[in-house]
Amino acid sequence: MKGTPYDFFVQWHLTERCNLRCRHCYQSGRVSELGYEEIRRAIDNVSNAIRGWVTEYDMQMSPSLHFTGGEPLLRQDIFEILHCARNCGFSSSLMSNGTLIDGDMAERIKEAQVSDVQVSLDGLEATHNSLRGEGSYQRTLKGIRNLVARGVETNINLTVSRLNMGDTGGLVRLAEELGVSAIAFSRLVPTGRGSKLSNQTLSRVEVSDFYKKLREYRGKSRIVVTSRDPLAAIAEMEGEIPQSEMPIGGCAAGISGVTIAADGTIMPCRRMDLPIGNIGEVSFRELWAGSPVLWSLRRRESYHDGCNSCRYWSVCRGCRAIALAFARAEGKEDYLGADPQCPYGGKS
Amino acid sequence: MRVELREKEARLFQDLKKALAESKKLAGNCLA
Repeated sequence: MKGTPYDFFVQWHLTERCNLRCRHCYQSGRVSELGYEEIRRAIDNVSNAIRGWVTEYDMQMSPSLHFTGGEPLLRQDIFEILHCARNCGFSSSLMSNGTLIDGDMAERIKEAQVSDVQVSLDGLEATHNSLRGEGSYQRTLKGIRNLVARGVETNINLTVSRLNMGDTGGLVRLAEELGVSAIAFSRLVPTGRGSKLSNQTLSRVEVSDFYKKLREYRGKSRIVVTSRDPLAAIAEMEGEIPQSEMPIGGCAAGISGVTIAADGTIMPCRRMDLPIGNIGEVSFRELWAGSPVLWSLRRRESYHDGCNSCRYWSVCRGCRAIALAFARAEGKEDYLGADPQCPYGGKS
Repeated sequence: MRVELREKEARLFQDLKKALAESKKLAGNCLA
C-alpha cells in the first residue's frame, strides 16, 4: 500500500489560436506552437519524471494532462495528442470554449475517452456575448448539449468579475438544466488582454460575499457548485484553523501542477506569466526538483505582506497569479506578496 | 541528475508524502 495518490496535473496550451476574442483572456498575443512530434517528446519528458518519482520514492501517482488553448479543437492533431497522452498513462481532459463541438466532434471526443470537458461560459446570454462575442453563447450551449447527449462528463467554468457576478444564480440554474456535472468559478486575473479589465475585478468584500453566496447555491443545487480558487478554501474552513505547516490545499503552483504554453514554455500557472524553462530543452524531472521559483512557492518564508504569517497558509497561499498581476500594474515583479483580493487575512 | 538536485528532490518528496499522509490531498486544481 503506497498511500494517497499524488494528483499531479499539467495544464497544457496546445495553441494560442482561437476562434473567439474574449475581452478577459489572459493571452495577449500569438506565439509559435509545438508540432505533434515535439508534443509527443514533451509528454514523454513529463512521463519520465513521473516514472522516476514512482520508482525512487514509492509514490502512488494520479497524473493528468488538461489540454487547452486558445481553442484546442482548432488543432488538427488533437485526437492523436489525446491518444498519445492516454498511451503514456495520463488521464486527459479538454478545456474548450465549446463553440466547435458539433455532433461529430462530440462523438470523437467521447471516443477519445477524455475524463471530462471543461467548457467556458461567462454569463447568461447578454453578458457572455459581451465578453466573448456576439452569437458565441448559443454556440457554446449547443456544444455543451452535444457533449452531454453523448454522455461525456462536462462541466462549466466561469471567470468571475463585476461584469458577470450578477448572473451567478441564473448560471447555476442553467447548468442544472443543461445536465452538466459541475459549475466552477475562477477569479479574473488581470493579465494579457484581461489587464484592461483590472477595474472589474472584485473587491475584498465582494469576494467574501461571492463565496458566501456560492455556498448557499451549493446547498440547494443538485450539481457540484464550486470554486477552485485558493481563497474559496478558506471560506470552506468555516473558521477552523488548519494545523498543518505544509501545503495541503489551495494554490497548486509549485505543489501539484504546472502549465506548458503552446511554444513549450513552462510556467508555474498559465495566468502567472513567469517562464521557468522550456519542455523541449530541459528535463522536466530536474526542473520540478530544482527551479528556484517553484521552491519559493513551496516555502512559507518566501511569502510576505501577511501571506507568510497567515494561519491559512497551508490551505490557501492566495492566488499567486493575481498577486503578480497587481504587482506588475505597480511596476513590481513580485509574485509572493499578499493576494490583493483576500478578505480573510488571518494572521497567526 | 546532479547529486545536489537529487537531494533536493528527495527532500521535496519526503515533504509531499508527509503532507499527503496528513491531508489526503495537496492542493487544488484551478484549471482555467
